[in-house]
Amino acid sequence: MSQQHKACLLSEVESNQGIPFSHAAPAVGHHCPMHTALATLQGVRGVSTLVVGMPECGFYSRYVMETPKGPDGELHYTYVLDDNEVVFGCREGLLKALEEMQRDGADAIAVIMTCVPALIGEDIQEITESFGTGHRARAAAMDLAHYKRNGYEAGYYETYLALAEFCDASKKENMVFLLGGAQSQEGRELCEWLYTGPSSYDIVTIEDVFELSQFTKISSSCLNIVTNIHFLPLAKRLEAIYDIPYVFLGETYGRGGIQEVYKKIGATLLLKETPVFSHSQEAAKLEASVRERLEGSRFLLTANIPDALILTEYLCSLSMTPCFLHLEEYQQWMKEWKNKILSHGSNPLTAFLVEDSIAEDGFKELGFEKPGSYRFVIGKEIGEEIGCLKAGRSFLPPLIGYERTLALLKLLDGLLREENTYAAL
Amino acid sequence: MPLYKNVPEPSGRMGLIWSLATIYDSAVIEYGSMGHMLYAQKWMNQTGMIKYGELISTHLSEKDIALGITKRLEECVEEVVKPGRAKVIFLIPSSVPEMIGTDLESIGEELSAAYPGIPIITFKAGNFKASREQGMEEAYEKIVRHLSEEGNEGIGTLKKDSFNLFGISCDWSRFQADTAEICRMMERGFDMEPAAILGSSCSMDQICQMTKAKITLVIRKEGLKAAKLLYKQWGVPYLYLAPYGLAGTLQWIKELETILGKRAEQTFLKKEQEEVAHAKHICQLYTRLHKERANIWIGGEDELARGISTFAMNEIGFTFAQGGIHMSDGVELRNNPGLFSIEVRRSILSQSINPYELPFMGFRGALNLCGLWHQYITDRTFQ
Repeated sequence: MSQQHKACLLSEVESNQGIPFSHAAPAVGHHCPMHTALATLQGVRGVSTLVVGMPECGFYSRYVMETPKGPDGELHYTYVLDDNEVVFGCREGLLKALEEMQRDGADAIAVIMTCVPALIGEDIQEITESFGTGHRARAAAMDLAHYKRNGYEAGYYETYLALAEFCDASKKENMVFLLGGAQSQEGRELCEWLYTGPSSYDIVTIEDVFELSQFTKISSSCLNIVTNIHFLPLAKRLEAIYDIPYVFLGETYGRGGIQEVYKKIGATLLLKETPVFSHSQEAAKLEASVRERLEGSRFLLTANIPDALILTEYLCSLSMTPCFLHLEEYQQWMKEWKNKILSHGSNPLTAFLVEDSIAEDGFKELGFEKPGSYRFVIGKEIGEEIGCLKAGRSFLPPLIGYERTLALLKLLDGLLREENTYAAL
Repeated sequence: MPLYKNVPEPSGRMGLIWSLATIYDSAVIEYGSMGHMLYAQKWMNQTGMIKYGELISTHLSEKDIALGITKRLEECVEEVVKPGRAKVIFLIPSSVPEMIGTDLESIGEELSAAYPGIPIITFKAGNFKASREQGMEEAYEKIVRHLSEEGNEGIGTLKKDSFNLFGISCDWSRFQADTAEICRMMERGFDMEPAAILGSSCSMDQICQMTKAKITLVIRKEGLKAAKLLYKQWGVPYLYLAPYGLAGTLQWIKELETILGKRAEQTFLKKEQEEVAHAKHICQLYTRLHKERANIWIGGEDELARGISTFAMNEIGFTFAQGGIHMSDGVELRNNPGLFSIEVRRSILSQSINPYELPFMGFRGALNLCGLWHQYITDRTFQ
């Protein structure tokens, strides 16, 4: 990119730290993972929070947790390290704080560690474990130091992961957890299918708002179906600890991949033959049409889309070329999606886009200006001649499987119609 | 044990940002983790100020911390200077660089040498002990110190005699209205226009007029150090007094007359005095009549709290006690509401969108307070 912008090739990205900032002077930058962790925990009834950090962390965390007491008696306190603790650690003080929270009525406490306690090497995990022995309340640690990553996505991943700390091993029951929800039509069809099994499965849906007491039953689950990528590390952890199998229904937009996931669900739960989901045929038809008409087009992905790599891989499979990717988070378990993109012969420039603007000269360096190819952006509009799939904090509605793919294809199809409109003008 | 069940006190760094960002053609660059600056922007957005400085955060990584790499900061300054994004750059520290001992001052000096065309001022109040007040004090003092260096003072462009105003800041409610009221009183009373307004909206060009002013009005103690320095270096006298209530405002005008060596415009003064005296008389009357509920409580111990409580008790006849009118910030009022609550300080709950609300300072501030208190005293729902 131009001198003002920085990016690396996707193949060069090996960790969060490897994603360069697009601009050297981000005004004003992005939220830290503490923000998204608190926003996530706002929806978890029964979990109290303790933010451990500097005055800014404590003061501004009140923009999320406005009151110290939640609707169901959850406590939202902050622990601000004093100058002595910055040097000698805050272990003793933190243990006392957790005891005080227990006295005030907290049962489950999520301890959110921010930059400075992480920098001084405070072992919050050990502190929460020590507290757990001999106290009624339980505490779970989250290392959310912002300097260890660029963006705020970790706030979601780490929060759901931490909730596993409140679970205990228990006997498997006929329960299936839908992690991320499935309220769409295909979700309902999936649930109906799950009821056709030899056992009568209880289906528990975990979405944005849920109760901890409901969540902790997950250790009895016989299958976790992940529909939102933010729950994926949790499912992996639960598989490692409690041997609970999982499938990731959001792993692909491709019909073949979705079919495979459904087959795996059927095999694990001994269900009858995989049903024909309502949207699968329409998705197949539209996919062929979109593939034909958008072949060779080039695109930029500038919005924060949590499954950016999965989306890009699908668009590559439809013969589109990514020229730029805004990547908020890169974890090791995302590597297979990166490799799939590379296997399509695409290696887009990748950066953490900290400002909306990409200067005109930047497009050239991105290889975005190749003559004769249709161009579009997934993010904010960047020019009249460039198609746009508008995306901000959200892109697609919370759909699953074929229905999600169909929604994406419809957007792409609409893009082409817009292009035709421009051509007519 | 520093456990906070409500909201912790704002830090020195927050005091710095809240003071410096009000200079609207500035760039406030924080060398540190990124998330805080976004919250600072949210705070500034909710002050009701239309324009404020660009808030920039470099972010940093584990590698930067481990190896003491400050390249991000250097590149950031370059990206601000080259396209002329700001007229002044303020470098502020944050907790992580403070922790690892980054010498921001030296980096600032190097950058100043590299970019002589733009002032680059570094600040220290990002450490673990600095309070909001220390941050504000440093912000004002460093700006004056910068102007004290040869060649940094601006060329006089003001048409009238001028005054500086230090200390009205965006952690007080109605800070823009209070600023406007002081400017109005100075204009109508002494035919003077504002030079530098530190703490409310101001440009760097106005800041550079500071040394030409006839007087510096210091509203809160955080501005005192800067005012003293300005007096020492440039001979600009100062007045440290906050004009609350009728007697307080008249006292303030009297002191100004002494320092400026001229009398305030008498027609203006008489009219303003009459208006406030009328409202004050009625408010006083009803307060005496309903003595049993004429209680007022004001949170904090600063100039604002002292000024308003003096007016309420000495001039109107309120008793300082809880249970009647409570005046504080939104969070405190939520936890400890009075029968009638008035927000006088800003908090995370504050969303000020109207800069033309009525002030608390000056003649019109006294009128406004009388109106609010009278509403409580006479409202039958409180009886």
